[in-house]
Amino acid sequence: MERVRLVDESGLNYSGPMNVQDFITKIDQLIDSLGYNKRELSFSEKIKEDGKIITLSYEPWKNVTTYAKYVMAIQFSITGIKDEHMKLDGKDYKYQTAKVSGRLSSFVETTTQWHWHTQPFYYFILGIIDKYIWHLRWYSILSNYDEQVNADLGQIKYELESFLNTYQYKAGVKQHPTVPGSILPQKIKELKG
Amino acid sequence: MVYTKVIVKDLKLEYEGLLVVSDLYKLINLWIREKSFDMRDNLDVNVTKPDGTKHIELELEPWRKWTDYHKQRFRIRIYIWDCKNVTVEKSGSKTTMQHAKLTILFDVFMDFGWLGKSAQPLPNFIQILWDKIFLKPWNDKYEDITNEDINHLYQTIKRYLNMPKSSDYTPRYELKS
Repeated sequence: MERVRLVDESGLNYSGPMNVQDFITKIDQLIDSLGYNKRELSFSEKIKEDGKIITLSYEPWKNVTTYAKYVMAIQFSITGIKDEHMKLDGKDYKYQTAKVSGRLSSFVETTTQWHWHTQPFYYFILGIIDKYIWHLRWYSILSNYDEQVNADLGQIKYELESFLNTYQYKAGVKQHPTVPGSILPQKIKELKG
Repeated sequence: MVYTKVIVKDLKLEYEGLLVVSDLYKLINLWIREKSFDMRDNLDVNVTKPDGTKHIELELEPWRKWTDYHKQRFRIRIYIWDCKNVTVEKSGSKTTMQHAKLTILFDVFMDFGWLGKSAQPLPNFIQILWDKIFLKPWNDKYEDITNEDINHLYQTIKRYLNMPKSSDYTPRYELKS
């Protein structure tokens, strides 16, 4: 079995208001929507004096062909989680402030399990032919499929970044850009009092 | 053919904070009994250190035989250290809980042909063909059930420890204390 790393620990960092449960649910939904099977490697929660620390590690995978599999490694560390409250329209909203740092990688795993060329000699010859003599498309899938897993990882990263950034607007940390004729900045001012 | 397949290896759950160790152990035991597993305690270590903190190591091996060919086996390793008693005031009443560092490791195996293999080569060969060609739907079915079981146990313990849960988990089990 050969594992080729395509994206090496692409970072995702965020600091500010968020909802930890919604964030974890969002990761699950994204993995599901892209057709991957979620594999949870570890989950850790530690309660310290300066806030909670949650670390999670997933390795979602998807079979592409009988020879190849896409695998993503998603690791997040959410530190300094503190509960906050906010009142909007007389209702009490709970959220947390935290610092999120994530690392996302993508791999392609090729497997020759249960196939006739699992024998060491045949595997070696096919590897030499594929790498130096003639590109066997049915054997080496990298040139055909490497873009798809990178696109999936990019989509997950983009959607998570956008999802986290919305909390900055919801909590009033950032203001929406003023558009001529827009009543939104005025509404936010009224709500803040 | 007699072989063991590893379904899940070293699935880790870590927690540091307040919990009730006896309730956690009861939860796991009750879950195992409700799912009709048999259980074997491989390791049970309880050490009290000079500073009063406890160190607990448990290794549980529940198993369940589906058929005379399929057997699912879990290995649950629980490590609790720096465990000390803490008095907590909850809605006016005081209760004793423990503050500890907890690590739980799950390994899940599927044993095929657990009855053993025959001494004769011909029955073994027929068993290999039977396993590869005819029993594949049942092998996949029991593997899926095993995956669901371990996922359910994992999420049950996460829910008990009040950890953020996965979106598609619907709780089917509640510990009544």
